[in-house]
Amino acid sequence: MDIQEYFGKCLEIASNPENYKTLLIGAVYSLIVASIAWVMGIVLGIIGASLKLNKNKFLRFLGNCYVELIRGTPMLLQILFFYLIMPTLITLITGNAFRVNKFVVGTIAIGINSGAYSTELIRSGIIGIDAGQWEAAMSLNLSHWDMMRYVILPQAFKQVVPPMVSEYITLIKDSSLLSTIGAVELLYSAQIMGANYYNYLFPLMMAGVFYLVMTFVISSIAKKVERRLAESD
Amino acid sequence: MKKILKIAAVAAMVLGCSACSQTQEEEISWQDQLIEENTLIVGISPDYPPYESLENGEMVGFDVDMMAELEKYLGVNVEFEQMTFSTIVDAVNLGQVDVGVSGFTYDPERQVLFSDPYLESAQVILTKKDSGIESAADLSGKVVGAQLGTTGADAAAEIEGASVELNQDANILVEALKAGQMDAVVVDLLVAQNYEESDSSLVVLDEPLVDEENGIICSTSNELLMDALNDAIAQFKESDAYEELKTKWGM
Amino acid sequence: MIKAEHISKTFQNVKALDDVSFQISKGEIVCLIGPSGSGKSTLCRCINGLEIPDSGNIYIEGKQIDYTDQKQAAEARSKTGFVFQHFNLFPHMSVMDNMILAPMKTLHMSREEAITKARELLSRVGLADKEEAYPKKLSGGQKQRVAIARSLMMNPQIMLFDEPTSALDPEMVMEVLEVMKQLAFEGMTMVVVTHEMGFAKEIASRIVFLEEGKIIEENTPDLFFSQPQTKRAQDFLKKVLY
Repeated sequence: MDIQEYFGKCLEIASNPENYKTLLIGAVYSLIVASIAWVMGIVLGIIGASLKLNKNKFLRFLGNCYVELIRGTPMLLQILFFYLIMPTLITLITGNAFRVNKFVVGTIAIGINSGAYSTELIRSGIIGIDAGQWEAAMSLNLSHWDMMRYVILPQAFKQVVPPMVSEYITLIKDSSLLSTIGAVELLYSAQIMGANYYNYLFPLMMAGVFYLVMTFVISSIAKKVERRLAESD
Repeated sequence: MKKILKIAAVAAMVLGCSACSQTQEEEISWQDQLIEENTLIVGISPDYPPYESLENGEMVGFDVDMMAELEKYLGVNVEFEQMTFSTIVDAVNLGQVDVGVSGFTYDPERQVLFSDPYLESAQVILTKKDSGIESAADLSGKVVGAQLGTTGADAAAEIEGASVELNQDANILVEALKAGQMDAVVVDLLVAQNYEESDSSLVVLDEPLVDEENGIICSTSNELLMDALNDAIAQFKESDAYEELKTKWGM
Repeated sequence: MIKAEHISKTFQNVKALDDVSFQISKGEIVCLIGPSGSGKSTLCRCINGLEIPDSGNIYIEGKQIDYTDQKQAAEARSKTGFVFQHFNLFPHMSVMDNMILAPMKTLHMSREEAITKARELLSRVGLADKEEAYPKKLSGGQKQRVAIARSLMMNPQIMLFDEPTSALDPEMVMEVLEVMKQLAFEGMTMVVVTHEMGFAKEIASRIVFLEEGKIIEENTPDLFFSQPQTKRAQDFLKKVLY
């Protein structure tokens, strides 16, 4: 195949509106995966951070286990664990066949993964607050809850917003790992398209543009939000 | 000179002199039947990678390399004659070329002789022994995995009532099958057999979804040549070169 | 009013306080002075439970306080106000919100009540026009005055000042000291950790001189500054009053 023919084929793929629709649907799925996983991650992150900052040694240990286990293994393995190993274990234990929804378990796996990173982000946001703030709140006799709610967390929140946004952007890209288990998202859509056209690379490039647009839009919005947050300081 | 001999041989057969024809056959070897002395003229359509294609004007591909190997076993020179695919069968029958090589798959409708297959593959159904699935017909309403972009994916799509899940990686498909996430997986025969051997809970169904066998064709009147080709193919398949070429061309 | 008995505190092998006993009665103004690292800040912080002593007891109005017990700590702190070297205003809140948060949350003051009181205190410290400002728009001196006013919002019976002017540019020291002086004249009981010798001399009812975690000398300001009894106090004063 000469170069002219190759570009002709690319042009054929690029000029078919159906292909954009396919990729757009894939992109929407990627956003759904990333969004659910992100929110899940924040919830798990708050829980994880309160475990890791807890006075109770055992709870701290639990928090550490979660973070180290997840951050110490590739996300791909975690996805495969939830798709392949977990159902096998459940089948072994219950004796009944257990079939999972790839999309759901994949999203859960990514959410649990994100939770470990969010734990560290939130934890460092909280411990990054100047000791004087804790002491001032304490000397003003605020209860622990009021201190967290009105003094510490609002300040931690501001510090945590920028890394949380980049975590979301990371998740949009990481959601592509779901293609390994054949769950629909942007990369998988591009792979299907590649197989149909016997041209693997070009659809991937197109998907790349979609990823770029999504992440660019999100980081632009994030910059505006950050600026507004900074103004209130 | 050769032509005359050939005509004589045909004439002898036509005369129905069975006794003498037998002796004649002993004498007439396949080499004598070649169009050009000591040369095997091969009709080929170089537009079918990885079997054969043109690269910078040079013909490359599995078939091309294979003919270079067969040349050794046959002991005649191989000469390629490029033509469009659809004309190869006619060219063989009309005696313009001795054989046709172009990734031919067995097809009884083609009025030619087919050699033993030099490449065999099939898309088969791999399933769990206890699944109760015995044929493609049992897959209706079931989840069938197949590898993205393969003939297996096309074949799986043809299975009536089955919902097909595509994945890039055959390993993950088989693991998903083992983990009970799928009911069957359509894969290449060799791949399926390896899994069957490695895991006693898996079984390859006898009936393949698609047969893919490639052979060399020659004219129906050239059985002697076909015998010689089959011999050569058998030797080729025994040789190390066979596996090397399969790897080289990703067969 | 406050009594500290045999307080010891060690930070990573450094003895910050070594068996220190100290007390202050109502209406007294005690200045804690001494070289840096002498333990004067630590003593001040122990009184408010910001540091937990390794040994020794703290009594407030005759009652022993265990600061690791939240209820006791809260009761003790309701009687004390604390002013920090670095102000520690809440940066994400306006001056007004800094002032009214704790009274509303812990004293269950109504918002209106708290705002009225805050305005009154802000005008007392000369910052009536700053209630909408955020801390980062204020100068150091203004921040410290807000911090003092914020403490006063809680109606403390005793005010603890931990080097309130050490982090200020020199031209802002005076405005903070003026506010403190005013408090002193109003009869507030105060413990002041300070390096401002002139201030200490002027307003203190008693000077407590610490060095290396021990109280070396305790005296009235007149006697302490004119006739220090110990060699250490003499050396210290020689260095700071030149």
